[in-house]
Amino acid sequence: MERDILKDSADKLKKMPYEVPEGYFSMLGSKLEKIAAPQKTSAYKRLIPYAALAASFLLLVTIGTYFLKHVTPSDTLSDEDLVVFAKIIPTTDPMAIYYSQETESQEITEDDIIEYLIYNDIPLESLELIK
Amino acid sequence: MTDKEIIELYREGKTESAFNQIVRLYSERLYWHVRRFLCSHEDTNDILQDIFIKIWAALPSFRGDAQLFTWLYRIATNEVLNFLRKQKFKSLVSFESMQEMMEKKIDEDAFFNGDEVQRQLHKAIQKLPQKQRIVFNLRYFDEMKYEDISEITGTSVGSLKASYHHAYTKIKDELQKYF
Repeated sequence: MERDILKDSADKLKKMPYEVPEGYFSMLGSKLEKIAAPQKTSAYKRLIPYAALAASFLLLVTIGTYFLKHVTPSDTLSDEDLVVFAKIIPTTDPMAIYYSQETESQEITEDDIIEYLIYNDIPLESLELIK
Repeated sequence: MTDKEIIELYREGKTESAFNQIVRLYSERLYWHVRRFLCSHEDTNDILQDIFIKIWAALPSFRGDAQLFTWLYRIATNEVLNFLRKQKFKSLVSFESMQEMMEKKIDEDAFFNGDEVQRQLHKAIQKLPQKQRIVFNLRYFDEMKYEDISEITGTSVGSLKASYHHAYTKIKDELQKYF
Protein backbone atom coordinates (compact mmCIF):
# COMPACT_ATOMS: atom_id res chain seq x y z
CA MET A 1 0.00 0.00 0.00
CA GLU A 2 1.24 3.47 -0.93
CA ARG A 3 2.52 5.52 2.00
CA ASP A 4 0.83 8.88 2.72
CA ILE A 5 3.42 10.98 4.51
CA LEU A 6 1.08 13.97 4.73
CA LYS A 7 -1.34 11.87 6.76
CA ASP A 8 1.14 9.74 8.68
CA SER A 9 3.28 12.65 9.84
CA ALA A 10 0.44 15.20 9.98
CA ASP A 11 1.10 16.17 13.61
CA LYS A 12 4.66 17.18 12.82
CA LEU A 13 4.07 18.56 9.32
CA LYS A 14 1.19 20.81 10.33
CA LYS A 15 3.45 22.63 12.80
CA MET A 16 5.11 25.71 11.39
CA PRO A 17 8.85 25.10 11.02
CA TYR A 18 9.59 28.79 11.40
CA GLU A 19 10.44 30.88 14.42
CA VAL A 20 9.93 34.56 15.05
CA PRO A 21 12.25 36.94 16.91
CA GLU A 22 11.74 36.91 20.69
CA GLY A 23 8.81 39.01 21.89
CA TYR A 24 7.76 39.63 18.30
CA PHE A 25 4.01 39.06 18.73
CA SER A 26 3.61 41.36 21.73
CA MET A 27 5.54 44.05 19.85
CA LEU A 28 3.44 43.40 16.74
CA GLY A 29 0.19 43.83 18.67
CA SER A 30 1.13 47.23 20.07
CA LYS A 31 2.48 48.33 16.67
CA LEU A 32 -0.74 47.37 14.87
CA GLU A 33 -3.00 48.94 17.50
CA LYS A 34 -1.41 52.31 16.68
CA ILE A 35 -3.11 52.18 13.26
CA ALA A 36 -6.49 52.95 14.85
CA ALA A 37 -5.18 55.39 17.44
CA PRO A 38 -6.33 58.96 16.73
CA GLN A 39 -3.57 61.15 15.38
CA LYS A 40 -2.68 63.75 18.00
CA THR A 41 -1.03 66.83 16.55
CA SER A 42 0.16 69.82 18.56
CA ALA A 43 -1.19 73.35 17.96
CA TYR A 44 2.28 74.28 16.71
CA LYS A 45 2.15 71.58 14.03
CA ARG A 46 -1.34 72.63 12.98
CA LEU A 47 -0.15 76.24 12.55
CA ILE A 48 2.78 75.31 10.28
CA PRO A 49 0.81 75.39 6.98
CA TYR A 50 -0.73 78.78 7.81
CA ALA A 51 2.65 80.20 8.81
CA ALA A 52 4.15 78.92 5.56
CA LEU A 53 1.35 80.58 3.58
CA ALA A 54 1.85 83.92 5.38
CA ALA A 55 5.64 83.73 4.87
CA SER A 56 5.30 83.09 1.14
CA PHE A 57 2.84 86.01 0.82
CA LEU A 58 5.29 88.29 2.65
CA LEU A 59 8.11 87.14 0.40
CA LEU A 60 6.02 87.88 -2.68
CA VAL A 61 5.21 91.39 -1.44
CA THR A 62 8.89 92.07 -0.61
CA ILE A 63 10.07 90.94 -4.05
CA GLY A 64 7.33 93.01 -5.72
CA THR A 65 8.24 96.13 -3.75
CA TYR A 66 11.92 95.70 -4.56
CA PHE A 67 11.18 95.50 -8.29
CA LEU A 68 8.92 98.52 -8.22
CA LYS A 69 11.48 100.62 -6.36
CA HIS A 70 14.69 99.55 -8.03
CA VAL A 71 13.80 98.58 -11.57
CA THR A 72 12.61 101.89 -13.17
CA PRO A 73 12.01 102.37 -16.89
CA SER A 74 15.20 104.48 -17.21
CA ASP A 75 17.21 101.45 -16.26
CA THR A 76 15.80 99.29 -18.90
CA LEU A 77 14.31 101.51 -21.62
CA SER A 78 16.04 102.69 -24.75
CA ASP A 79 16.18 106.38 -25.90
CA GLU A 80 13.23 105.79 -28.23
CA ASP A 81 11.18 104.46 -25.34
CA LEU A 82 12.07 107.53 -23.32
CA VAL A 83 10.63 109.77 -26.05
CA VAL A 84 7.40 107.78 -25.94
CA PHE A 85 7.31 108.07 -22.16
CA ALA A 86 7.99 111.80 -22.42
CA LYS A 87 4.62 112.20 -24.18
CA ILE A 88 2.95 110.83 -21.13
CA ILE A 89 4.10 113.78 -19.02
CA PRO A 90 1.05 116.02 -19.69
CA THR A 91 -1.32 113.32 -18.50
CA THR A 92 0.53 112.91 -15.25
CA ASP A 93 1.28 116.68 -14.90
CA PRO A 94 -0.95 118.78 -17.19
CA MET A 95 0.80 122.01 -16.26
CA ALA A 96 3.90 120.68 -17.99
CA ILE A 97 2.29 121.71 -21.29
CA TYR A 98 2.42 125.36 -20.26
CA TYR A 99 5.95 125.09 -18.98
CA SER A 100 7.10 123.71 -22.30
CA GLN A 101 5.24 126.46 -24.20
CA GLU A 102 6.87 129.09 -22.01
CA THR A 103 10.24 127.82 -22.90
CA GLU A 104 9.41 128.01 -26.60
CA SER A 105 8.63 131.78 -26.43
CA GLN A 106 8.83 134.25 -23.53
CA GLU A 107 7.33 137.20 -25.56
CA ILE A 108 3.72 138.44 -24.99
CA THR A 109 1.82 138.37 -28.23
CA GLU A 110 -1.25 140.33 -29.29
CA ASP A 111 -3.38 137.22 -28.92
CA ASP A 112 -2.21 136.85 -25.32
CA ILE A 113 -3.37 140.41 -24.56
CA ILE A 114 -6.77 139.87 -26.20
CA GLU A 115 -7.30 136.60 -24.31
CA TYR A 116 -6.37 138.34 -21.07
CA LEU A 117 -8.81 141.22 -21.72
CA ILE A 118 -11.67 138.83 -22.65
CA TYR A 119 -10.98 136.86 -19.51
CA ASN A 120 -11.21 140.13 -17.44
CA ASP A 121 -14.51 141.31 -19.08
CA ILE A 122 -13.02 144.27 -20.94
CA PRO A 123 -15.66 145.68 -23.33
CA LEU A 124 -15.46 144.89 -26.99
CA GLU A 125 -14.85 148.54 -27.87
CA SER A 126 -11.67 148.61 -25.92
CA LEU A 127 -10.53 145.52 -27.80
CA GLU A 128 -11.10 147.30 -31.04
CA LEU A 129 -8.91 150.13 -29.78
CA ILE A 130 -6.05 147.82 -29.20
CA LYS A 131 -6.24 146.54 -32.74
CA MET B 1 -14.04 37.81 22.50
CA THR B 2 -15.93 36.28 19.56
CA ASP B 3 -16.32 37.69 16.04
CA LYS B 4 -19.95 38.51 16.83
CA GLU B 5 -18.99 40.50 19.90
CA ILE B 6 -16.34 42.39 17.92
CA ILE B 7 -18.92 43.34 15.29
CA GLU B 8 -21.34 44.44 18.04
CA LEU B 9 -18.60 46.58 19.54
CA TYR B 10 -17.99 48.18 16.16
CA ARG B 11 -21.69 48.88 15.62
CA GLU B 12 -21.88 50.58 19.02
CA GLY B 13 -19.37 53.08 17.65
CA LYS B 14 -16.42 51.70 19.58
CA THR B 15 -14.43 51.34 16.39
CA GLU B 16 -10.99 51.62 17.95
CA SER B 17 -11.73 48.93 20.54
CA ALA B 18 -13.22 46.66 17.87
CA PHE B 19 -10.08 47.03 15.76
CA ASN B 20 -7.83 46.36 18.74
CA GLN B 21 -9.78 43.17 19.42
CA ILE B 22 -9.25 42.09 15.82
CA VAL B 23 -5.53 42.72 16.26
CA ARG B 24 -5.46 40.68 19.49
CA LEU B 25 -7.45 37.80 18.03
CA TYR B 26 -6.09 37.63 14.50
CA SER B 27 -2.63 39.19 14.19
CA GLU B 28 -0.84 35.94 15.01
CA ARG B 29 -3.13 33.77 12.89
CA LEU B 30 -2.79 36.08 9.92
CA TYR B 31 0.96 36.26 10.46
CA TRP B 32 1.27 32.49 9.98
CA HIS B 33 -1.17 32.53 7.09
CA VAL B 34 1.01 35.10 5.30
CA ARG B 35 4.30 33.48 6.30
CA ARG B 36 3.29 30.15 4.73
CA PHE B 37 3.15 31.97 1.39
CA LEU B 38 6.12 34.27 1.75
CA CYS B 39 8.45 32.13 3.92
CA SER B 40 10.54 35.13 4.98
CA HIS B 41 9.85 36.78 8.34
CA GLU B 42 10.89 40.22 7.05
CA ASP B 43 8.49 40.13 4.10
CA THR B 44 5.68 38.87 6.34
CA ASN B 45 6.29 41.59 8.89
CA ASP B 46 6.19 44.29 6.19
CA ILE B 47 3.03 43.04 4.56
CA LEU B 48 1.17 42.45 7.83
CA GLN B 49 1.26 46.16 8.60
CA ASP B 50 -0.34 46.91 5.20
CA ILE B 51 -2.96 44.22 5.78
CA PHE B 52 -4.10 45.78 9.05
CA ILE B 53 -4.11 49.28 7.55
CA LYS B 54 -6.46 47.91 4.86
CA ILE B 55 -8.61 46.18 7.47
CA TRP B 56 -8.95 49.43 9.42
CA ALA B 57 -9.78 51.37 6.25
CA ALA B 58 -12.30 48.76 5.07
CA LEU B 59 -14.03 48.18 8.43
CA PRO B 60 -16.80 50.74 7.75
CA SER B 61 -17.70 48.79 4.58
CA PHE B 62 -17.99 45.47 6.45
CA ARG B 63 -21.71 44.72 6.32
CA GLY B 64 -21.69 41.44 8.18
CA ASP B 65 -22.92 39.36 5.20
CA ALA B 66 -19.71 37.34 5.44
CA GLN B 67 -18.07 36.05 8.59
CA LEU B 68 -15.51 38.39 10.09
CA PHE B 69 -12.67 35.87 9.97
CA THR B 70 -13.23 34.94 6.30
CA TRP B 71 -13.36 38.66 5.47
CA LEU B 72 -10.02 39.19 7.25
CA TYR B 73 -8.44 36.20 5.53
CA ARG B 74 -9.67 37.49 2.19
CA ILE B 75 -7.97 40.87 2.70
CA ALA B 76 -4.77 39.14 3.84
CA THR B 77 -4.78 36.68 0.91
CA ASN B 78 -5.34 39.46 -1.63
CA GLU B 79 -2.48 41.42 -0.14
CA VAL B 80 -0.22 38.36 -0.32
CA LEU B 81 -1.13 37.79 -3.97
CA ASN B 82 -0.34 41.44 -4.78
CA PHE B 83 3.02 41.08 -3.07
CA LEU B 84 3.77 37.86 -4.97
CA ARG B 85 2.91 39.57 -8.26
CA LYS B 86 5.52 42.21 -7.51
CA GLN B 87 8.01 39.51 -6.52
CA LYS B 88 7.35 37.74 -9.82
CA PHE B 89 8.34 40.89 -11.68
CA LYS B 90 11.51 41.14 -9.59
CA SER B 91 12.34 37.52 -10.38
CA LEU B 92 11.96 38.25 -14.12
CA VAL B 93 14.42 41.11 -13.81
CA SER B 94 16.93 38.99 -11.90
CA PHE B 95 16.56 36.02 -14.32
CA GLU B 96 15.64 33.78 -11.43
CA SER B 97 12.38 31.81 -11.35
CA MET B 98 9.89 32.60 -8.65
CA GLN B 99 10.15 29.03 -7.36
CA GLU B 100 13.96 29.25 -7.13
CA MET B 101 13.64 32.54 -5.31
CA MET B 102 11.24 31.07 -2.72
CA GLU B 103 13.30 27.89 -2.26
CA LYS B 104 16.33 30.06 -1.64
CA LYS B 105 14.39 31.97 1.01
CA ILE B 106 13.52 28.71 2.79
CA ASP B 107 17.13 27.48 2.67
CA GLU B 108 18.60 30.77 3.83
CA ASP B 109 15.97 31.56 6.47
CA ALA B 110 17.69 32.01 9.82
CA PHE B 111 14.38 31.40 11.59
CA PHE B 112 13.75 27.97 9.99
CA ASN B 113 13.82 25.36 12.73
CA GLY B 114 12.15 22.36 11.05
CA ASP B 115 13.62 19.08 9.87
CA GLU B 116 14.31 17.96 6.30
CA VAL B 117 10.75 16.61 5.71
CA GLN B 118 9.29 19.96 6.71
CA ARG B 119 11.79 21.80 4.50
CA GLN B 120 10.84 19.65 1.51
CA LEU B 121 7.12 20.06 2.27
CA HIS B 122 7.38 23.85 2.21
CA LYS B 123 9.46 23.78 -0.94
CA ALA B 124 6.87 21.50 -2.57
CA ILE B 125 4.10 23.96 -1.62
CA GLN B 126 5.99 26.71 -3.45
CA LYS B 127 5.89 24.60 -6.62
CA LEU B 128 2.07 24.52 -6.63
CA PRO B 129 0.01 26.84 -8.84
CA GLN B 130 -1.32 29.83 -6.92
CA LYS B 131 -4.92 28.65 -6.41
CA GLN B 132 -3.85 25.18 -5.31
CA ARG B 133 -1.36 26.72 -2.90
CA ILE B 134 -4.07 28.86 -1.27
CA VAL B 135 -6.47 25.92 -0.90
CA PHE B 136 -3.76 23.58 0.37
CA ASN B 137 -2.53 26.06 3.01
CA LEU B 138 -6.00 26.88 4.30
CA ARG B 139 -7.24 23.29 4.29
CA TYR B 140 -4.18 21.34 5.41
CA PHE B 141 -2.65 23.72 7.97
CA ASP B 142 -5.66 25.76 9.17
CA GLU B 143 -8.12 22.86 8.70
CA MET B 144 -10.69 25.27 7.35
CA LYS B 145 -14.05 24.15 5.97
CA TYR B 146 -14.44 24.29 2.19
CA GLU B 147 -17.40 26.66 2.67
CA ASP B 148 -15.14 29.14 4.49
CA ILE B 149 -12.37 28.80 1.91
CA SER B 150 -15.03 29.43 -0.71
CA GLU B 151 -15.95 32.73 1.02
CA ILE B 152 -12.28 33.73 1.13
CA THR B 153 -11.38 32.86 -2.44
CA GLY B 154 -14.73 33.38 -4.14
CA THR B 155 -14.40 29.93 -5.75
CA SER B 156 -17.05 27.19 -5.66
CA VAL B 157 -16.72 24.37 -3.15
CA GLY B 158 -16.57 21.77 -5.94
CA SER B 159 -13.69 23.54 -7.62
CA LEU B 160 -11.89 23.90 -4.28
CA LYS B 161 -12.20 20.18 -3.56
CA ALA B 162 -10.71 19.36 -6.94
CA SER B 163 -7.87 21.87 -6.43
CA TYR B 164 -7.07 20.46 -2.99
CA HIS B 165 -7.05 16.89 -4.30
CA HIS B 166 -4.55 17.87 -7.06
CA ALA B 167 -2.37 19.81 -4.64
CA TYR B 168 -2.39 17.03 -2.07
CA THR B 169 -1.41 14.38 -4.61
CA LYS B 170 1.39 16.51 -6.06
CA ILE B 171 2.91 17.19 -2.65
CA LYS B 172 2.59 13.60 -1.52
CA ASP B 173 4.35 12.41 -4.70
CA GLU B 174 7.03 15.08 -4.31
CA LEU B 175 7.77 14.05 -0.71
CA GLN B 176 7.87 10.38 -1.63
CA LYS B 177 10.87 11.13 -3.85
CA TYR B 178 12.85 12.01 -0.75
CA PHE B 179 11.40 9.88 2.03
